[in-house]
Amino acid sequence: MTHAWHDTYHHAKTPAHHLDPRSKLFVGFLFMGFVLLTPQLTLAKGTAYSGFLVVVGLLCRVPISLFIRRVGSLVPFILLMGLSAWLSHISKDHVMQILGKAFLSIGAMTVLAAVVPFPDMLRALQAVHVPRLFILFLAFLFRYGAVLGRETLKLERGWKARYFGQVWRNHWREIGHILSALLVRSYERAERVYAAMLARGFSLHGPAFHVLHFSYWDALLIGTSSAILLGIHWGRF
Amino acid sequence: MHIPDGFLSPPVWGALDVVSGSFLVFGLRQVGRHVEEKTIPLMGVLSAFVFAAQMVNLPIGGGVSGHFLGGALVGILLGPWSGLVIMSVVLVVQCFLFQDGGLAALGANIFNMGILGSFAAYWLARGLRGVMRRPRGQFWSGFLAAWITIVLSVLSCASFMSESQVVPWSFSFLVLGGAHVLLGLLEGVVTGTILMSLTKVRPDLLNRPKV
Repeated sequence: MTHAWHDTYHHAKTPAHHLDPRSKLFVGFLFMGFVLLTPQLTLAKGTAYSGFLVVVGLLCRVPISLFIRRVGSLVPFILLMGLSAWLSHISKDHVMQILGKAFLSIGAMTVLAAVVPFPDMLRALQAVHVPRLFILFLAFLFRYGAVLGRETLKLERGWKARYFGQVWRNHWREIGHILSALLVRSYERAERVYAAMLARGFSLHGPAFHVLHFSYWDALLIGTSSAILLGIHWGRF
Repeated sequence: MHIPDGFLSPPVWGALDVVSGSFLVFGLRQVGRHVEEKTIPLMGVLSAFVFAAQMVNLPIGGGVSGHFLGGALVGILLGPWSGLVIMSVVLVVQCFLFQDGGLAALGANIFNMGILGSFAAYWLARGLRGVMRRPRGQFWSGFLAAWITIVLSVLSCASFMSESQVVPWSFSFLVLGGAHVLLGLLEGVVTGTILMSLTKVRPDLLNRPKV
């Protein structure tokens, strides 16, 4: 179950790619926790956290272009912050701290998404007792998000080819009609999906299949990363 | 409206993670208890629909475009708890796969777009349908519910950011609120049109039991 279209998992042969997803998620969340709970992200600490992230990214062979694309989601907030700092008394240092934390957090999530395949993440969530219903919905979204996404783009392309140069309101109404067609198709597809699932013996309360293996390497990853992050957090620099 | 990490202070994101997490756990319990097994894939595919619908860019003018959010629509169609669960699933996937919205700020994003988005829209549409006549009533109730919901959600987003001392309240109220009063119209027209189309094509979908 992989979708190159909306999955940012970056396949590579590195030791990190063979580790248990739970340990990778733990280290990723620990990193974000330390960064976000640091009261004063000084230049030295920010550089140390960035260095940690860059080393991990290089070891996992995560392409830098992926990170640059992801940072794009910060643009509206950067503009808002810039305008706010310009018009009010918010200091430049405060703005830099916020942006620094945002960049580090996005960087950590990008590395995580690149080294943990989404189905493995679902298995890890299942292992930590996240409700099965929620995991099922996530799996459905992952499976059908790409299918419906492609269908949406086809509908949008057809619409753009036929209805150009119209007034905004009409644009929006036409898009409303396109989306209602997509919604009806989604419903009908869901009925077929359910029939197929029943044919394969699906039961909501049936056993779930998961293969996860926690090795010494995972323990080493957690131990080393925790020691480095604790050192940065409590280090006097 | 997807708040990234770093833009909220730890007490704000911590409190919202607890509140939204509790709502989500209760919502999952409600859905599991009241929804038939047959509806589970339906809800899963609907979350994929919201995810896909958010990719369509809606022209605003001057080269600027926005996109449909869908929280109000799923709230009106399936009920507030189902809407909350669907929007949470979409937000979790967007956070993990696209880094759209932060992990620590996930509680705030679920609160704004899932809890406020679904509950306010569901109750507003329900109230408005009672005083408006069909079939136009379906459009106007959806339009107003989606519009008001977007404005409420963005004001909530602005209040969290000003509480975290990221932007002053008056500034965020004017800039974010002002922009979304206009962007909300777009969400309203699309939501209303979808509901009116469904009245003609598949009215059974509007009469499903709401959870």
